[in-house]
Amino acid sequence: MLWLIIAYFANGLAQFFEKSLQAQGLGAYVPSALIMMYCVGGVIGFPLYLIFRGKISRTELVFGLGVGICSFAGNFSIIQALKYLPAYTTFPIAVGGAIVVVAICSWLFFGEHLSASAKWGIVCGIVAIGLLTVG
Amino acid sequence: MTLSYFYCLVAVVGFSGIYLLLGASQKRMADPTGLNLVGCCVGAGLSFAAACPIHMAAFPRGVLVTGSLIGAGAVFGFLGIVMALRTGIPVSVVNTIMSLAMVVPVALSVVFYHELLHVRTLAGVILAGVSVYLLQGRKS
Repeated sequence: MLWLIIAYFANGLAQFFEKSLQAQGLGAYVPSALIMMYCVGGVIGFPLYLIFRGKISRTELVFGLGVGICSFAGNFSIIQALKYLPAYTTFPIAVGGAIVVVAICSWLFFGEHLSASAKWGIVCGIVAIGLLTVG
Repeated sequence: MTLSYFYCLVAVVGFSGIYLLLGASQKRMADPTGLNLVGCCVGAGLSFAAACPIHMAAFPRGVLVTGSLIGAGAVFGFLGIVMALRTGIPVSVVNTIMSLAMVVPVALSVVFYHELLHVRTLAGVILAGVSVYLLQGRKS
């Protein structure tokens, strides 16, 4: 459970520092901040790769390429959005919206079963995004 | 302001892509540490391309520190997830708790940057949390 608590706060703090970048008036330096972010990620990630005896085969290369592109698009956009929108609007829309989109895509394109609670989750997500957008 | 909502939309597409790709990679037994490393290299390459032409003036102290903190937070978050899964915590529990990590930046921004939540936005934040909680168990 300790690892989960570490992951929770580390991820949450990473998101808060994205907000902090804009709050410090450094919004013009988003690509530079992302260079630092990915380089530090790589520098810390490489020993983890060695410790866990990871592998980089064709699968990791193909999916890693996709994840890297999506990660750059997501992080670049969320920091730009934080320039004018508060954190309480940006993060619930970006995080909650993505989970709603994934659930709908999984149901529509991959034939995944949606339970009754999941359907209510989609309704709640859409209402939440509406409230946050007009709020 | 409208442009900010457009950026939110792009972020939704980007993060949805990450979740879908990670789901598909798990089915193909991809190694998470290798995937993370490749993702970081691709992200760094794209960031370099976006920052071109690169000058030292583009790296003030605040950017160096804050960018590094974002990267460290993201990697330790990733390490925590990998270790939590290895200790036997179910994926659905890990996913739900990690998705609810958005509470941290929202709460800290209210405290440190005095962002005021109105009734409608507070209801929206709570509903987004409820939505994430309900959706994470969609396979059960």
